[in-house]
Amino acid sequence: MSTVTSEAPADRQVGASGAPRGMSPWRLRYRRREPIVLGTLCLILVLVAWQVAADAGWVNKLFVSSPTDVARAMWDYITTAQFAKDLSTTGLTFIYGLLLSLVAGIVLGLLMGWYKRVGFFLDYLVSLVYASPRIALVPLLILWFGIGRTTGIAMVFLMSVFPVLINTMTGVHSVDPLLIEMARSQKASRLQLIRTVVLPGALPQVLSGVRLAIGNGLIGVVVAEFLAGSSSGLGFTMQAAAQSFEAPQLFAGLVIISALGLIATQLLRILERRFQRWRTS
Amino acid sequence: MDSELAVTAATATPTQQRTAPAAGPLKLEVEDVGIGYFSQRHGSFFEAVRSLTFNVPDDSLVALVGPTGCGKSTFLRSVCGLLGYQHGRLLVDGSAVTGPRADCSVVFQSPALMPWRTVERNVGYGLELRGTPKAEVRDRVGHMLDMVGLSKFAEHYPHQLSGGMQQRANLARALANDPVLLLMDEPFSALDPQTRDRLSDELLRIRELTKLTVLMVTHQVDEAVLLADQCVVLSRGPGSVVEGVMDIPLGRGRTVDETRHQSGYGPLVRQLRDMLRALEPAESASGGR
Repeated sequence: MSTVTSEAPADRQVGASGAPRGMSPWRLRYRRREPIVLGTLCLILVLVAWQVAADAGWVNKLFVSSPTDVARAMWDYITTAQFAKDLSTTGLTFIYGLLLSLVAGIVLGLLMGWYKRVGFFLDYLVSLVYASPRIALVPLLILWFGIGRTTGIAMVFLMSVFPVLINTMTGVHSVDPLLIEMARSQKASRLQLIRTVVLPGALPQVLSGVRLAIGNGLIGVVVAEFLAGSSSGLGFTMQAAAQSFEAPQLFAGLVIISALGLIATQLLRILERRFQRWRTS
Repeated sequence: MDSELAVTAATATPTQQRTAPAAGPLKLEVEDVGIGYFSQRHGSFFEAVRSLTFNVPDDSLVALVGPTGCGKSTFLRSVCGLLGYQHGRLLVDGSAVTGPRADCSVVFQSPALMPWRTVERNVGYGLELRGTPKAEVRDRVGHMLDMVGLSKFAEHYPHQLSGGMQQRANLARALANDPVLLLMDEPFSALDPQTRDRLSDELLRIRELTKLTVLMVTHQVDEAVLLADQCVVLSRGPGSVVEGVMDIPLGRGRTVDETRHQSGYGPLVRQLRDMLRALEPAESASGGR
């Protein structure tokens, strides 16, 4: 790094090329991208090691497959009609479940956050159900809703409603009390207060709750399909692949589900940016 | 310059009623008002104001001064309807205060602007709540921003403004409602001295312009003398009564700088400071509560 003279702040700044003195532009370019470069490098190393280990016969290919086999299986799978069907089944189950949990989570979270007594009343119940391993409820849900989409939706709901609810509640608690006071002094009605102060104030935390809900909901939908898938769905197909020892197919499913999660989170990020434009302007 | 002080000494019995010298109708009438609330922090009932009696005449700027913790801010919250009072009469413009009202605006100590709204939409918030037509809101807000010198910053967000500008927006929002009574809770205490002076002048100018009646809470003696026509002095501690009412006969339409150079300014400040200081031992002597 360049040496810095204490009384000349201009010297601490970068030169015209954007590089500190004594640093080549190439090195600077690398420095800027270092997190991406190193992160990607790790992934590549893991894939290469996996491939080499599989090809050299150090591991049983039947169980661990190899990156090239997975890529091939994925391509084969994506081009089938079954994939489109699986995707729409899983996607719709996930979306219905998530929407339900958003509505319920936000409404309940608002009520629990705003009305202290509602909060006290429901606190133990919510904590209890949240702390329980909800995945273990799938068999019970099958008992109630049978094999098929309803069980999936219920599972997604159970998995994703809590992060939304709890974050909405904390979000409401974190709203600046002075703003509430201000709005009340302006004669805001209760609904106006919630619409103009409480919801916008709680929004950042509601959205981070939604982010958690997306991750949890994906787990919910896949697990439900493992156990209660009827004829299609990403989880259903993976389960079927596992029963016929098709490891590449399993990995392909895994990659696709992760990709769905990434896409959903990115969409949420766009939404977040839309709502928080004021922070950056 | 007339620098004679019109100080009414506090009477020993808080029940005795006294009214401030009134010129014309009263904008705020306070009669034997007592305020208390259940405090979660203390886990008990907290008596903030025991018996308070004074009046704010029309078209005047009254400063409410008193030692820290004398309940002056609490009292202001009651006047703007955010906190109920236990007994007494509290009338704004002749009608009893029963809750927040549109004709009574508050300028809070901190700007209390919504960070996700532009300055313009913050200032128009009260009008928006009342369902004022959009065009009318825009006109009125534009006018208010003009008055406080923020026209250029209408589209800015609060975090892009300096503390002084945020406080101007706070003032503009209060004025936008066209209140009959403006309540200010140590509005300039968080600002640096220069900005405070500028905003004080601004307040005095706007006040002359709009003939607004103002009740201002402050714990700064010099601020009270610089701005007010009349100072109401509260005694210390829970159960504050009016310790005295002090007229500030320094004339209207003055700037803070002009006031500082008036011969009457120094003695008034000293007088008020002495009054406040005299309250301190009185607190330790009173074993009544």
